[in-house]
Amino acid sequence: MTPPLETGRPDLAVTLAGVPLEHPVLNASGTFDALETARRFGAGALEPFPFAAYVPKTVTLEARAGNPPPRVTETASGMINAVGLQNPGIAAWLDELPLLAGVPVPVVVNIGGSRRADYLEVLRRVEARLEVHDTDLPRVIGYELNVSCPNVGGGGLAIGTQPAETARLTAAARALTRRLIIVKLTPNVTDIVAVARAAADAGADAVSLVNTLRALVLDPQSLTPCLGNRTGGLCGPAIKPVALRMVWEIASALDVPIIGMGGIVSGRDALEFVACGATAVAIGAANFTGPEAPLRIVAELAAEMRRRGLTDLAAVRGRALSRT
Amino acid sequence: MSESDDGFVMTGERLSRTVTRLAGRCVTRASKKRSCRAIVSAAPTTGRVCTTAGMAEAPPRSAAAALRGEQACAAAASGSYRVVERRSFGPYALLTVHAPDVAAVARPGQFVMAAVPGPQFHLRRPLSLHSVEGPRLRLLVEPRGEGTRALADTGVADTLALTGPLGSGFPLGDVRAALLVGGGIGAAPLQFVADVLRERGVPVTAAFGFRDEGQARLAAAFEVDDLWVATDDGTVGRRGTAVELASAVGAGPQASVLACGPAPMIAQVGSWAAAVGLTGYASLEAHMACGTGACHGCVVATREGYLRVCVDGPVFPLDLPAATGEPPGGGVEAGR
Ligand SMILES: Cc1cc2nc3c(=O)[nH]c(=O)nc-3n(C[C@H](O)[C@H](O)[C@H](O)COP(=O)(O)O)c2cc1C
Ligand code: FES
Repeated sequence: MTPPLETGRPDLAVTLAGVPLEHPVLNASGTFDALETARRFGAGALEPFPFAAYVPKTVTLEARAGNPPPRVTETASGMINAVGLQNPGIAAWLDELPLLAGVPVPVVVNIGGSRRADYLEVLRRVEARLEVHDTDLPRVIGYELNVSCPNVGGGGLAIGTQPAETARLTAAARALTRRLIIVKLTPNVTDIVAVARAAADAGADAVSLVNTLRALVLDPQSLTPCLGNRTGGLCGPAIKPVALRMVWEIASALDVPIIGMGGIVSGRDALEFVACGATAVAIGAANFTGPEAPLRIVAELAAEMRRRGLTDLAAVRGRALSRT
Repeated sequence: MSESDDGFVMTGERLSRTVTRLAGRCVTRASKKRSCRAIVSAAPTTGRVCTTAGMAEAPPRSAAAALRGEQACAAAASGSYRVVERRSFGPYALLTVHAPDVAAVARPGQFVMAAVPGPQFHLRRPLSLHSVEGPRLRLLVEPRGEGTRALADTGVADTLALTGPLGSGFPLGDVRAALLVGGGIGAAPLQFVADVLRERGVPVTAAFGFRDEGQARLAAAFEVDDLWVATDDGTVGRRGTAVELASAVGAGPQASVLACGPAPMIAQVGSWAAAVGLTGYASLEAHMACGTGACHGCVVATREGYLRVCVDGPVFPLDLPAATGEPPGGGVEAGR
């Protein structure tokens, strides 16, 4: 869909918590589906694979029907969603896992839940499945614990807004796997550094942020909430300054690797997150502006670096930090 | 390239092969139980080859799954296409777009996701295929909010970035006579339906309901031999709804009801059709973000649970949607 990157580009390779990635751009969970992309556009759409690692939509222990519609609508410079983690549950999800064997990049399994025990059970089942080497499976490098979904009752936010709960979940997950544990943080807190520190101290290999900001949109005619769930999560360019500030605060205070996201729609946006200390970045709502968006953003990032005479991302990482 | 024994086209190269396997799964969750296999070319998005083989040996799990199977293999294109003609009907625009690769595989009831021109962040907007003529698509645009207004303002020689065709089409194979029921801008895809049926010599009657005189100008964007119009306020045609008009006009006991419009109208058409013993299909509208099945943002409540309008539909059996009232937020772009 997009021409391959020009040769002679700057080195976009990064190492995320010990895992080498070809470039720093991942997809944000829930906004890109490799299988559906292949079904709609055919194989060519995944060549080259548009992301350096693939993060499927959040999976939970039991199937979830999700929230009543409408679930999405556009807002000024962004969008709001209240999907409510619709997914088939871990059993059905594992049945489909072999279909991801063709994904040529590492896979990060994003886990959600309403109780700590549910997250851990999902993680256990994935680990058990990966133990069995009889079929070819995707290369699962780790887990992203979604403790930050604003659109489900209990769990999610209830864990991610409390450093102590975040620490307990992270430590328990850490004990179950040697793969990466990435904790996905919510911006719906007063002190993001406290939650990030709790995760890092409990053994998280990285933190990812931000998930969406709790928000409300009214129907202009009826003056009643637009979404079926009433409130939803705001994302897109509107939240980029908030997300940058939070990445910047964490990078200033801690040494934990960061996957930055929130409103990235261009290569320059991605570079700004790196300048604030992110090792990798993720693309969410921008995927909805067209299937060409991810490769365009990677190409723009390379062009932006070339323009600035940067040979690799390490040269610019953390440039915005006030830490001495 | 050689065809492997499991039905997938192999190119010999590992990436292509494995990715082809992903694409081969275009047969959907439900059809895993049937042995529908797809042959998808591993070539870039142009020149897609897509057929189904060994389909429908076992009965499909559900009507929705059957539709899904039907549409599963049509590969969509994505690109920028030139607008070659623009006609307006009051505030409504009928855009003709030169998009040979989309047109070649498009079927009545499918839609495209069109990018809103301009540099700001915008979700793509779902637009039904009003009709297809050779390499050209027609899109009927109602300016409901900022995004659709910008789309409606697209002029001749401008380019339009779009993705499609997407979604299931109307299954027209068994239709012997058709009653098309359209509500407002929702009538858009029924022109394509009428064109395909006319070509096959199937008798078509259309009953379109509009809000008022202004919206009824849309009727001029349609060429259907037997077209009836009603308005809510009686300013054009009969006074009443599309459903009242449809029941007054009728189309005989053999007719399939093919409906398209807002959810409350579809619910009315569904209960009327059930009451008089007719069956058919409805194309539903929804707020969408991706349009390609990834985000689960576009679901509709059905007897089978929440289904995605963009890939499980937009065409569903008339009796599938759960009897719900108007969604809390109203139409597309309510948030703007
Ligand atoms: C429709 C939609 C669905 C999402 N689903 C998930 C999800 O299942 N799990 C998750 O961790 N985050 C989910 N997110 C949040 C995104 O992954 C991301 O954190 C957020 O959208 C901010 O990035 P952005 O501004 O680039 O979109 C979802 C976001 C959207 C818009
Ligand atoms: S619009 Fe994203 S799944 Fe339908």
